[in-house]
Amino acid sequence: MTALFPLFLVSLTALGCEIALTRYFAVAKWSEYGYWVISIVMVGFALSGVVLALWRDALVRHGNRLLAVLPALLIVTGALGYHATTINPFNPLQLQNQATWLPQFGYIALYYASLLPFFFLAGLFVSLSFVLHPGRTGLVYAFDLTGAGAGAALVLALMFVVHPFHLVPALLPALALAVLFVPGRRWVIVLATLLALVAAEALLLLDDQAQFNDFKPIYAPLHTPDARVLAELRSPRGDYLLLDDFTERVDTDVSNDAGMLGLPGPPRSFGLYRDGDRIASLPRPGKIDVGYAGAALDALPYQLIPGARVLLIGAGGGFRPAEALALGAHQVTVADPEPVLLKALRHGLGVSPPLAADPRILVSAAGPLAAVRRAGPGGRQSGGQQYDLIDIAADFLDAAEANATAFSVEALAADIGALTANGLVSIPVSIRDFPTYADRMLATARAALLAAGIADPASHVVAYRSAWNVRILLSRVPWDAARIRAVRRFCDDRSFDVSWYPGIDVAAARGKLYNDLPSVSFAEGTTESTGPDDSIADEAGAMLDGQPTASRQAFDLTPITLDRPAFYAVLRLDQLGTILRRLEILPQPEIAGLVNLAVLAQAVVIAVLVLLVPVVAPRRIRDRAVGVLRPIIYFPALGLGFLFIEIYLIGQASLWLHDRTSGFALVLTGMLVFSGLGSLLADRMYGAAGRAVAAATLVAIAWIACVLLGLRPLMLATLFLPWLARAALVLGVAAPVSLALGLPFPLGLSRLGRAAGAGGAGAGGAGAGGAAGGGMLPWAWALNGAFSVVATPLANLIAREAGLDRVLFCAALLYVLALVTFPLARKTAMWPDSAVRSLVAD
Amino acid sequence: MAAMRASGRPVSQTQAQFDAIQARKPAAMKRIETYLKQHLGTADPAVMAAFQAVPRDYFHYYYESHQATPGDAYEDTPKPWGLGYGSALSDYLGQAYMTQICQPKPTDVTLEIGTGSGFQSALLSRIVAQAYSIEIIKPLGEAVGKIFVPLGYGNVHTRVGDGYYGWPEVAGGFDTIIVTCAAQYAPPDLFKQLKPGGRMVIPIGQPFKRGQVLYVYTKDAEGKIHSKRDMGVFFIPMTGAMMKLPPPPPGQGAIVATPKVEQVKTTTE
Repeated sequence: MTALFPLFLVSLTALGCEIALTRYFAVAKWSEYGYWVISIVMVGFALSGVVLALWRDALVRHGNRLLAVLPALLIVTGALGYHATTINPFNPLQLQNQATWLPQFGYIALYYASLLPFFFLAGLFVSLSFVLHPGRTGLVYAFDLTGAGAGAALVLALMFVVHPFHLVPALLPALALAVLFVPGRRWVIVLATLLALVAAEALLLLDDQAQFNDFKPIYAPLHTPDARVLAELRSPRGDYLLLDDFTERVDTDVSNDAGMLGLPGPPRSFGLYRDGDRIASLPRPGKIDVGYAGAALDALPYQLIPGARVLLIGAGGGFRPAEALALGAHQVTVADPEPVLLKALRHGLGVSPPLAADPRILVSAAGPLAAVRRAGPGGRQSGGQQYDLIDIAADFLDAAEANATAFSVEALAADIGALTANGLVSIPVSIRDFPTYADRMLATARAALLAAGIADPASHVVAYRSAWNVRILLSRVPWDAARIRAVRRFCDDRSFDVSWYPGIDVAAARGKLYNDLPSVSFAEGTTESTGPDDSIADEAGAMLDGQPTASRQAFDLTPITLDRPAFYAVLRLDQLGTILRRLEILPQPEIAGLVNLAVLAQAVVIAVLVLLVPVVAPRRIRDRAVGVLRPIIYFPALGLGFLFIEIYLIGQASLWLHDRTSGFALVLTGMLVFSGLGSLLADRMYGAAGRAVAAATLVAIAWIACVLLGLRPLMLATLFLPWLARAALVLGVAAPVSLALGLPFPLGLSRLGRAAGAGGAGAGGAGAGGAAGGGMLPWAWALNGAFSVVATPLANLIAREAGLDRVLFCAALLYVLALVTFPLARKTAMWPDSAVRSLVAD
Repeated sequence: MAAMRASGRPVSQTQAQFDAIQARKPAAMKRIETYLKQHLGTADPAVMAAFQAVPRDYFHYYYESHQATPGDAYEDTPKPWGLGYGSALSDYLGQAYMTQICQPKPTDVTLEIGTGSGFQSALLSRIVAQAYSIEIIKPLGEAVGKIFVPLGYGNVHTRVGDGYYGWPEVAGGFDTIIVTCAAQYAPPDLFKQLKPGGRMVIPIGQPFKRGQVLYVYTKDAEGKIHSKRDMGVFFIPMTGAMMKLPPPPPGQGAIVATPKVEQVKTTTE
């Protein structure tokens, strides 16, 4: 057992570094590029398997010595790789500029060159451990998985105290610890490893080059004269900085005619940044000045419903409730699930004061779905109180990834159900980058109104806008003439435009537009309008009637749902040529889909190369006992299936916990640890491997069926529970399938390991000469790694295009495929247990 | 070269090098003319004359390391060039488009928020009566503020300051304001300083990325503001970042040791 402790530590460090590097990319560059880290890790692992498969004999002959020196090499390559990563001048914006993009490809290649050695060596350590312990694949896999799970948990814990840029140096000492437990270690190697660690830490800490990219939103304000960091909070959700600099002002959409209305502009504020992105304005000490509120775009519903009972989804750093009261709200419930924003509201942050105590204001940590499900018919809110106005803050969408659920059909339908008879839901949409986001929101509003039992959605919607933003108002009752007049008067006074109201004459409205919004062809990049135009008004009626429009042809405008919650996913990936031609105008969040595609394409190439290894070196790979065909399907299916389930669960946990980071952390750690425990059982099941794999598959299929049928209702019914209870539920859901999924991989490997062992490599493997075909086991490891590279972007692609449920359905198919291709000895029955027992005994 | 020396930016350049740079200018002018005709239907002769008059190679300079880079001027593939301090000189096609869309006239007074290299204001100054420009980056703004007099551009006025509040001391306001704005709204004070009938041009988008969106605001006779989102063209305007001073150490609330100056929200040119 102690001999495998180094494996535990190497897996711990490898996964810890993987997460640390995705955090580095999220903070220093943009999180979309974190996909590359996952890809590099898996490529390294796959490559290690290929190398071990091709040169197995030589590597096994020096196996223990290799295991002893690998920790030192890992420390060196890890430090050099991370340092090279931090000085890489890659600029994602220049990648979107045809005049400057070429060098960026070189920089991406440099990332691979920098980081691949570390993950290759980590993979080599793991795969070598499998080969050296052919009779204990279950135990080896258990150490590997639990080490990885511990690595995930450790790095997430470190994020509370260590800056994201310093996570890698904080993890490297675990590798030095590993060398103490390596069999056959020499004091020279121990000393060399410690020296490597000292040198590595000196390099990373004394020559720390990590910094925010010049073009992150925080860069400019952070570098203005007299800029001050007033507070810093570290957590797995992100690194939060509260800045005081002269550029910080309340970021609301005020009328350009505010001066004519006699209203002031937005006041100065502090800026709250998470991972370099601005998420809110926080008030400066003193009374909050919201004199601008009457000139703001979102003031209209307050004028329509004087003295409203309001549910604010997103507090806007504390300015929104103050605005609501200033605009005449009678009672305000503020739901803001972002923990740091909530802390700022309740207790203040740095010198930024908390929300002033006011009996009219109630602050809640509930997410948008939980908050509204407490109200409405049959809701849990005391007295069954409903709201006159549910108002989503303009900055709520980008304040946290999970906040997109507030814009889903399910959430909006629940909002409508929680309204009083004349109540309104107010939805913000930014049209700065793409006006078509307003079209998608209109399609989502239509679906929500239909889901709420309203048969004629178009008569329940008003959309109005400035040059920068649209507000969509949903009403439980059809809009009447008096209210529509009030809407038009409000807009006319402020140089806003009404893009849709029931009975609008779009052609006539063009004659008096304040904010010309021409229709532009995405495919051609040319303006299609010949005069003043409102491209949102042009299509709003058709969108609300579910009719085809030009925008529907150019973009994916299917409604946002809990199954497909991504807000920034309007690009039609089947029109890749057009997208690449228009790359230069794409909003940054849309780039994630393209990066994902690029990683997938590269992963497929790598997977094909790994598949071809037996063709290149048939004598080293082929295994007469089991053949090549079954492993070539079995191990890729496992690699894909496991990650498909993991990504599905991360998606669901993000909704359940209303936080992507903790959802990711819990699912990753839980699945790795439970799968590790499951794989421990594998060591006892070699005698009935086929039956064990069949049982594991059955458990997985049954679990998938249950989850598809019952998980979402369970989540929606328990959203109001405390976070810890929901976290326990997440783990409870993940545990059974994870335990089962721990079995098939080591049991499959045991067949190959057994064959190799039978060919000459004894238990422990050290010094044993391998027979022809002994490379099968590491090749299977490589296959698993290579298809894990494919799995992440492929699952993301399926989730984006078809929904999370489809990802899970595909996982079920993959496990069935794995079951029928379980590596069997040739010319045997389906479950040749007797043969297995005799071979294992050998 | 004499002007470069006089502007405090000495450059060593042979006659042959200078001639090679100038030899590329006619092709660049042709590109500009074609681009403007393609996207705006016509190439304004005043804009073309301004481009002809202003030596663009004079503005290629990396201020952070005091290095002249005139050899980059009039490049075949128009692109942005670094100035140091996170700022950059926009590509000339984008600047031509911006200049023409401002519809500058000889009697105009213009305000630019974000001086950058100074090239945009230099262009405008060849057409309008007075060109004002504000820069946030102190070392850049101070250095660039010295480069207009040696060229004889006496109608360019610069300062380092906060462009959010505009330049209220200029009596009568401005016919044109060019500004970048990172917020969800255009600064209200700038609207106040815009003359009736004046226009404010705001490119929205991220630096170094092509395809920024232009918002063009106009003030009518009643003082009400109208806007137009110009999505018909995609060009390469640049937004410079702030000066590359050492950031405050995380968690220590350190203060950047630079004299307090009035600053603009963001900078561009």
